[in-house]
Amino acid sequence: MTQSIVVQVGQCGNQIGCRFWDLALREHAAVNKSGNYDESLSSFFRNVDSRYDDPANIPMGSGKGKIKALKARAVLVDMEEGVVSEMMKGPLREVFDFQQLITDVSGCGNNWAVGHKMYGTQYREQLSDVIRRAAEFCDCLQCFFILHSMGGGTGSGVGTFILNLLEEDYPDVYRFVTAVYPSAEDDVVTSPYNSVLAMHQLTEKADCVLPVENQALMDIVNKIGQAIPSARTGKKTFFPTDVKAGSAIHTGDGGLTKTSEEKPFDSMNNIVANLLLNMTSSARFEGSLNVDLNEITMNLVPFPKLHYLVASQSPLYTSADVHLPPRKLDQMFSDAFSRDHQLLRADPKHSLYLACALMVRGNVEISDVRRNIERLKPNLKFIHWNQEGWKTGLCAVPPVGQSYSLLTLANNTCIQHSFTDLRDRFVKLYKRKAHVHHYTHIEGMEVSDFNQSYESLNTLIDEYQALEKQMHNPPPPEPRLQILT
Amino acid sequence: MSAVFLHVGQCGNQIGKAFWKKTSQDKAVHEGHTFIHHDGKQRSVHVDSEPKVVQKACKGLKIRDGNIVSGKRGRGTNWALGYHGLKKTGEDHILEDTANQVRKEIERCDMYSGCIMMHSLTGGTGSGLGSRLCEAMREEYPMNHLISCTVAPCLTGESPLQNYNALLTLSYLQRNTDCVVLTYNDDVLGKLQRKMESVSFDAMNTSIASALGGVFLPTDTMTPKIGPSIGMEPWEMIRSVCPLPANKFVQVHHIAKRQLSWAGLQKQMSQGIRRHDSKGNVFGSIGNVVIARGDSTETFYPQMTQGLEKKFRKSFNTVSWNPFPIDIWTAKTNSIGPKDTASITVASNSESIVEYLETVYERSRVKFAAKAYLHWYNKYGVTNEEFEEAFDVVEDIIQNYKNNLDASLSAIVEYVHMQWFMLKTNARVFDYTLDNTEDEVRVNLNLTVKLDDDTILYHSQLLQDTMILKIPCDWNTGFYIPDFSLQSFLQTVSLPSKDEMTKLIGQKLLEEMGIGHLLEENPCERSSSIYSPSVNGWKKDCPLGVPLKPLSIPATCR
Repeated sequence: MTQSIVVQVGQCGNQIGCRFWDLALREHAAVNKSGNYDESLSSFFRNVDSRYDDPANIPMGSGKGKIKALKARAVLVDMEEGVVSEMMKGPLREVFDFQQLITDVSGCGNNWAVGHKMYGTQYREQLSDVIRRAAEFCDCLQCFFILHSMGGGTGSGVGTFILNLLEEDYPDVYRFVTAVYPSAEDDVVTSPYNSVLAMHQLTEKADCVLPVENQALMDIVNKIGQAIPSARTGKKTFFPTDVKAGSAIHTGDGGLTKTSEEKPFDSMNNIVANLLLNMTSSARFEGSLNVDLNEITMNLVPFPKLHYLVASQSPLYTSADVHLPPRKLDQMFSDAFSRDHQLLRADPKHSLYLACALMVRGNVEISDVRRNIERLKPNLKFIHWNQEGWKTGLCAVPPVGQSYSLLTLANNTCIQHSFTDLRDRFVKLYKRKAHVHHYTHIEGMEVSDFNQSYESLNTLIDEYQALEKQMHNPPPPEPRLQILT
Repeated sequence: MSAVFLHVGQCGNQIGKAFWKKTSQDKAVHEGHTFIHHDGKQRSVHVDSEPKVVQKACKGLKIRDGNIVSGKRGRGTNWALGYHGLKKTGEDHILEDTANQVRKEIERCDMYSGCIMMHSLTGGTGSGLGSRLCEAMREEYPMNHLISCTVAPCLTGESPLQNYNALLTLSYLQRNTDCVVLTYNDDVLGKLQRKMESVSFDAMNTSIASALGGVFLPTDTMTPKIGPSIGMEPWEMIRSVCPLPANKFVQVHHIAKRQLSWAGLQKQMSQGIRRHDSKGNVFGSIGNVVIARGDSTETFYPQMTQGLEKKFRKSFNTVSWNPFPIDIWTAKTNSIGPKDTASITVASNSESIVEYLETVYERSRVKFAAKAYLHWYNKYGVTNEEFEEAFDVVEDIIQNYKNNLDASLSAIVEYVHMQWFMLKTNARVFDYTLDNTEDEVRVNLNLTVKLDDDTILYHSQLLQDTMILKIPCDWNTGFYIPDFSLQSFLQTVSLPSKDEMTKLIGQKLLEEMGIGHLLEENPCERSSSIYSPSVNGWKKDCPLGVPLKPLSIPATCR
């Protein structure tokens, strides 16, 4: 069994991380009734003897040993203290290892250069040490999950600096980045700069990026909110509609946090945390068709730089009705391909698919998956050389509170529209060179960084556009070689 | 004649589990000790690159300690990663450990005949590591058989890399194995969906395992009159269905029913199989084995001779050049299928494989032309040249099968003197003449487009006096000398007259007929085991394949 390390950077990254660990613990608690420290727990958690100051690792052995104290395989980085120190006071404080924590006091001031060039260089040794410490606890490290936002300074700057560091130190370990893109109405004026500068790094150094948009998350939360009208105002477990309690993918109540105290961003962060849980479920739990994490990148990334995957999840909540007619199941598949279930404001259905993964959890059989692929395929456009571009996974363990769920990851040209929007916002500022001096006075930051990042984004958009052009007229097949007679 | 089983990857191990469940129910297997050792442990080695699946799949099976080999991380559905492994992380031991365990298992056999490997065609471990193991087995045990039982993915897509992986695996299987039993997930799923609403992987695995069991489990036909089964079935299957070394792809059809006559089972089976491609060309088959299992098998032979065999010949469209295109085995008990059922299993080497191979070839061609996903293969050590080689090998397989289809078709061409094809508008398009001489057929073929009023729009001669060799003999009639008498023959060659045919007379007769020099001297007597630990592991004096001399004069019969 392989292990993964989560590196959460900045306010946004740490908030998502916090929700992730909460949900991960609950998911494992629901599956692991025996309380033994087994292989699936070991993928994200260490079992330690916390009686010592430097808690000693308890080896897994045969998987029959009891859980003593679980420590998350996490590295927490923030250049201001607020969020992290709040976490360290919160209910999850026991899960984090204080030695895997790096904070500063002054923040990055929403400036990528401050995060990447200044703090990055300053904390390089320390970051490297902390990550190495986490890596040394792993028996077979397969993946780094980096969580950060694109708009802020710490997340985008320090986050991408860590990405570089990981590429240098651990070239064979996969780097998955979950990046939260700012909405167009973002209140940070420099967020287009930060995003474009960070994207250059993501395009070059990451193995796989899961872009998530704040606005899309908000829309999903509202959609669920409509189905559960009184969930937020009323008592915490009372659902007057037929939605099953605790099953909506944004609910965070379950003992650790209370709904009434739920912060506005928590629901949105829960959705992202669920994305990570669903994506890694097949690697952690048993199933009849396993999808290991390296399969995701290998199957969905046909060209090295085109590694941005649009994710969607369904169902968003489960009906309390226990009877599950197959129509409900088919609806789950249809929903996942609809526009309003995407975690990015994009419409993959009307663009060109390069590849698509269906990661199914719970009580679903292979024939159900095949049937739905046959059903959906006529309405989806796949690039001519990847007509069979489906990756399917079946994991036996459903998410907590649901009987089945589906996560789709699509490499789709629709993502170029988000990138084009971002480019336009960037150009608007950069034409006037507004705020550029705030960046260039940081040591190591040059104007050429802006130009290179801008070029990189342009190339990426061009590549997606060139592929999308092949949607209707694929190039003629190459003539096959004939044997001369 | 023991076999060692090798289960590779998630698919190979899941099918393995279902297969061994069936196998352990068969009494003859336990008596014969060909698949199961004297101490009750299976002669099997289970390999996967991650521990999760293999541990679960091996639960409840009687596997020897150490025969489960697993790595730490998956192979990402990448053939290259499966084949070359992760060099830096010190995981190469999977290959070494597997080879070691297989060797130990072989040493535990009284007489090792060959290895049966189960794996998927496209999973990272099954395809990549599977190919590597095939190669290693062939290198290490060149004299022994190697059968690969492999599963092809759904055509609508299980993984974007499936056709690349299949292409590479197929090329390795073609090079290194004796026989490939290919099962299509689409076929299995389709068959089961007719029976039940939702189909689980378990059901699919059981179905595949039943079909394999139908061929490999002991039959009465292959069991000596005295003593237990000697486990000849897998190897006899190769002999029956693979008469040509380049055509080694076999499909297994299996049907089990309660209270149905043999004719009824035959009918249901022939309805269930695909007999022609999308263009309507009927698949021909090169060799087949029909295995009947059930209570009333004593009636199977008589029924076969009374016309059932003809039906099988028709539904599998056997080639005319194979004198015995259908082999028949029977077993009195049907230990595979549900209780109280009778089953028919047919292993068939047929041209239906071509369609799948062409799909794999063409889809990976376009992907290769677009350079998609190649970086993942290059990263783990597969170069573009290796892809080109694999393309060549698969193209050769397709060509080989097509050539055999042509041979079977030309055999049924009747020699007509003058013919033409008409279009709807009464325009003559093709006309041809066939001149039937003694040895050859002389062909003239014209392409003419002619309207009703005899205006010629286009005319061209495609073939002019082209000579095509006639099929030399008709195997069905046999070879005989009408007024032959042994006594008078002996007199002419001045040998003492005898009533029976001795070896010497036989050889003299062959010589007199002019074919003696074409046959190799009595190749090899194999009364003892071919394995002898003293001479480097193997007796060198007795090669398995006897090379035939090349024909010096054209062999024709008129």
